[in-house]
Amino acid sequence: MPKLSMEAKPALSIQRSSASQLGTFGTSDLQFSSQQLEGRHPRQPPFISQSTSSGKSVILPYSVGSEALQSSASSDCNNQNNESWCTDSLPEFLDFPATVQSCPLDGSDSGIISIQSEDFSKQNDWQDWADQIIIDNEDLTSDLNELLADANVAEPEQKVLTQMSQDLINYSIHQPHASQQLSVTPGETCATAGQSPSSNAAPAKQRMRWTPELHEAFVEAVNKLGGSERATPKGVLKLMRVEGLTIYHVKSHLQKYRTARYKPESGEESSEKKLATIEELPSLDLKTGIEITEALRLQMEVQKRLHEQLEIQRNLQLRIEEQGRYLQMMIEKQYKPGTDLLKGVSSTNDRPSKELTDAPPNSPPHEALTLEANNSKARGDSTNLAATSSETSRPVAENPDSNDAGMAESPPSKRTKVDE
Amino acid sequence: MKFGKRLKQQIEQSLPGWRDYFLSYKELKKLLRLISSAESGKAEAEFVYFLNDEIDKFNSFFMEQEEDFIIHHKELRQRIEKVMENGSDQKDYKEELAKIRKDIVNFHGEMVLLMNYSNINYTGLAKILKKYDKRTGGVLRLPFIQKVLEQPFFTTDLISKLIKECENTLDSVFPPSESAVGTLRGEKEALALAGEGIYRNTVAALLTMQEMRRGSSTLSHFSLPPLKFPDSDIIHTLQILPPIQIP
Repeated sequence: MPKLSMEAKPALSIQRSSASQLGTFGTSDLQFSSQQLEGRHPRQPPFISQSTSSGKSVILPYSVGSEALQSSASSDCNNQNNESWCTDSLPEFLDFPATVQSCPLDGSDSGIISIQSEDFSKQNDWQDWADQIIIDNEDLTSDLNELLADANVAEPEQKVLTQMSQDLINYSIHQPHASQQLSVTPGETCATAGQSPSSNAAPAKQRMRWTPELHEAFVEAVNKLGGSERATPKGVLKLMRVEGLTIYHVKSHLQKYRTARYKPESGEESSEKKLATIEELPSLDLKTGIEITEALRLQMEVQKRLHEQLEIQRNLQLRIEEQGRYLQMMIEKQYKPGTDLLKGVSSTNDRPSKELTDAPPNSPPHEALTLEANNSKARGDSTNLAATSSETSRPVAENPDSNDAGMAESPPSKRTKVDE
Repeated sequence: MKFGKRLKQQIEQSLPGWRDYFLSYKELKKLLRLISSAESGKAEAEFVYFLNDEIDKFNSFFMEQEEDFIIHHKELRQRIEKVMENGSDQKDYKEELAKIRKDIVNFHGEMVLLMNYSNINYTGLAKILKKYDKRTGGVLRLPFIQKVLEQPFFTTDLISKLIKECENTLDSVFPPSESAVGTLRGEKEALALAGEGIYRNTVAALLTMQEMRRGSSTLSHFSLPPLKFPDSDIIHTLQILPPIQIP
């Protein structure tokens, strides 16, 4: 089993484990996937979520029939740990088994895995629904009614493909080693955590993510060695003593550094072009000088504005996805087979369990969320996220009485939030 | 469809060396059309591979630029220090300072454009993933986008920090003048001397952003709120028309 490091890391820290392993990870007590893994050995999660502190990790919803697939696949794709984002995973992926039953890996076109239709229709539903709730850009599909209509069309078929896609994600989304941020304090060597042990596997391929601190250390080393012309990559590397830094990194960085030093005005391309234009002007009289100043100021204004808007947009996007995660988690808990809900554990009341079992496949997502929200356990789980997305969770949690009211509540609350 | 068009516009307006590194949105849509439920899943696989390759591309480009920016940032700092020290030589001093000022502004602009690059690619990814899920009934989007959020090209904190530092440096070295944004007379011509490529791209980016978030046919309660900034009209007038290409 690949080891899973759970410490918080600034850089990417996705462990490349076997394909699409289900399993909760982090400290989350969501039992969804592990329920289905009953009888099998517990899986390591395929990747580490960004917010390790909260433990609200992404649960991969495709479970059920794919187990056989994974157990056979795991042995194969466990090996490599250290490539760039994608490229090397191709051959291995194609070896994934074609069917659930046939464990040995099928060489050819990885195929169709028949998965129990019921689960997928449910998953389809809540995914659609979650998408609805998620604030998104222009081409967001319309409203809940439409969604319900979609949900009614149960498609038991090839969600396979998504299973496969999931495999691909897990398989190829990886390799933070490709982009480590090494924090360097003078005299010390320390690499930020989260590096898989086999990080030295392909040093030439790894991409270094430079930071100002690292660059400072670099400059210091270069100066000690007599300047950018005299310093050698090997010498600099030795002096810097930064773990994980290779000579290739230093070499390319040194090259950039030298170029920047000797052509200070031509930092990046466009400056070059316009610099020539300015220097062609024989004399800069005061008027033109002022005009240029004004022009620069205006340019600056526009740039600042764009920056501001980008920051806002980025934060919005982050929040949207956060809510998406939260919703998914809520919904998955709802579909947790067995124990809590169906058996009517003390933390739940009778209503939810009954309605869960009785409800037709189409409507559960809607009722489920409100019911689930009433569940104290859910509230306990979601405290972290609730804090950040409190506007959304609050209305849901505060409508214990009628499902419809609860359901109707959450979109409006989002509506008002969005509209302001 | 709309996004594809906007993306194309953005790319056209962007800095020349950047044009190959944006999201191949159209390609991805084509791949998407090849996906059918009858098939073995090959098209899906291809799609995801392509996506991963794209992300690789973003990351490489982004980190490359970022590295350049870090180096350049330090260089500017050193230049400023040097010029400040030799305050005596008046003539050169003024010219040097003017150059530095222009460089800072352009540098600032490029960094902001890199952030824009990051954002527009992210947006495109989010959209295409949504389309994928819609088409396949799959659940690729959510986990995939979670990973994207952690990617280097999207974690732009450092660049943002450098941008702010630039602004501070500029304010301290070149105290802000009194005139407001309103005076456009003569500035447009003067702008031709300034970093036109950067400027044009920046304005285009702002406008694109605004338009993408304006009410569209699919605007619903759940869309991002429209952009509001006060002198958006002025931004429109600042658009520099692309030069006529002489074949």
